[in-house]
Amino acid sequence: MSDTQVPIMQIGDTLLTSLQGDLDDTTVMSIEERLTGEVARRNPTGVLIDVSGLTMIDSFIARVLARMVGMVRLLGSSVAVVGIQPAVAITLVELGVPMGHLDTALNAEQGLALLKRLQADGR
Amino acid sequence: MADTAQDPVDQLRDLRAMLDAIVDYSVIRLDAQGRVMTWSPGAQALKGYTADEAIGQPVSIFYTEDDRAAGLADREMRTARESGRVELEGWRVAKDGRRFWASVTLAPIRDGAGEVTGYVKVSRDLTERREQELRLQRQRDEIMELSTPVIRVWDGVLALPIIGTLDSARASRLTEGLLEGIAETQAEVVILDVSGVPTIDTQVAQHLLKTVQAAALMGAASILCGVRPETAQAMVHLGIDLGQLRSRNTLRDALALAMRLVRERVRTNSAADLLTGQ
Amino acid sequence: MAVEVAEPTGVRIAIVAEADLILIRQTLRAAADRAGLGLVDQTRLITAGSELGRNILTYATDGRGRMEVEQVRSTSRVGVRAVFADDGPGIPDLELALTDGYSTAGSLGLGLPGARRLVDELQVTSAPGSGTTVVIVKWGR
Repeated sequence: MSDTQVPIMQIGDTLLTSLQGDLDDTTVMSIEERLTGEVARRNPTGVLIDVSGLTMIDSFIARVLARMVGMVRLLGSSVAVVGIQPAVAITLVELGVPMGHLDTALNAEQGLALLKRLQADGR
Repeated sequence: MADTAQDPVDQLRDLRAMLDAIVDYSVIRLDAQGRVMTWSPGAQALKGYTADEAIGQPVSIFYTEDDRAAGLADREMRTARESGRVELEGWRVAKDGRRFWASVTLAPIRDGAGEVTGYVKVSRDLTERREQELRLQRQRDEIMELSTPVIRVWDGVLALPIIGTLDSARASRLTEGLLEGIAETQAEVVILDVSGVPTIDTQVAQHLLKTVQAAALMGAASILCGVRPETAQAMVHLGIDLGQLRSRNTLRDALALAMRLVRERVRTNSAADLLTGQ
Repeated sequence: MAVEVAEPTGVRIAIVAEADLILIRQTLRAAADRAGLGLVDQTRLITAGSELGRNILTYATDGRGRMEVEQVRSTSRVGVRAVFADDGPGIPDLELALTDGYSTAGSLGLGLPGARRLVDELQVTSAPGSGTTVVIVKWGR
């Protein structure tokens, strides 16, 4: 799947992007680049990274996600990862990739609420 | 087994009669290339072909198309040659196209010089037994599910009462069930009630931690409840550290905390809305 | 004595470029499906395969790498066996590589301990100069 198909949408003052399907490394990294570019350009209050379309997250994707989150935070926006699927959640924990630094929510709706709480907390 | 007093021809006839009397099993001989050399009433009963139809055919005609394409028959014969004998189960196909689950023993026949001159193949129809086993397994799974339901105790709060011992397979199923419950009910807090678990050793603690971490990835906070004082002591001795996991003595206290957490989230959301003017 | 008889799904994939990782995942998914693995077990297998395939890409840079997938059967269950082999430099300290927290070149390490937790069986054969072979098996329930 080519990265140009990955949308970055704006909901109010929040940017939302979805990672879907079976992504190759190049696509993942170009999504990372595009997102950080958009965040720098539009300066949203919050960012949601929706991974509900991912049926697998391996250590590489987990690393890129962590990097994306780190970059967005550095740029001054709150950020949450939403939509980690049950099978993916179990596998990530068993794989042993540390994910504690991510703020996560079940879906976009809960994600928006989480972003608000993070912002109220100064995060 | 050789009865030296009996005429060899009679011996052969007796052996033949013995084989023919076996109707519950298919006992056939294959040549070194796997072609059917002898047939029997049992073979006909199982596979549907008459002796005329079967003799001379490659044994692969009794296999499914997939297995034929994968060369399974040849691999089984090779394993038999190398290991002396192979026992296996698999799908086979009868003359009328019906698939049956067969239990098969395949053994090589060697001549005086040790060369393989053919194989003897004994097969039995286990379709019904397999179906029974699958049914039993499904029943066991259902009982397992029934005995550990995920309960919606409040809006956004799920409780998982864990009863009995936890082996790896059961613990996995519990975790999966809970996570699916979080997805279905959009729960934000889960209560893990371990009052029904006799001992929390290192393995159980690991399962619990795994469940809590996976739930957190799905945005849900966890509360442990029902850890008895003796169990808590044992856990400390074992060096089990459940980290930041909230724990309450009773389900009632856990539920009170859960509801407070949910209310706080709602309150914070509203407050944040006020701040941002939404 | 019951003996496993493996039937190949007929797939052998060369691991040369990053795009091959997608093929690895798709192949493992198809094999897991055929073997009747549940969704969580499928995810575990595919993730383990992605880690091992990635190892080959990262570390066997001038070596030929490949994955072969087979369905395996025992008397009561069906599973998937995948073999990841390369002619790369080999793993100098196998014991260390199998320990959590081992890290080289700033990456998360070889991912072997993680992959091992995801599958039912994992065997590594490796030595400097003679390449590496990792065999994993994931059984259905």
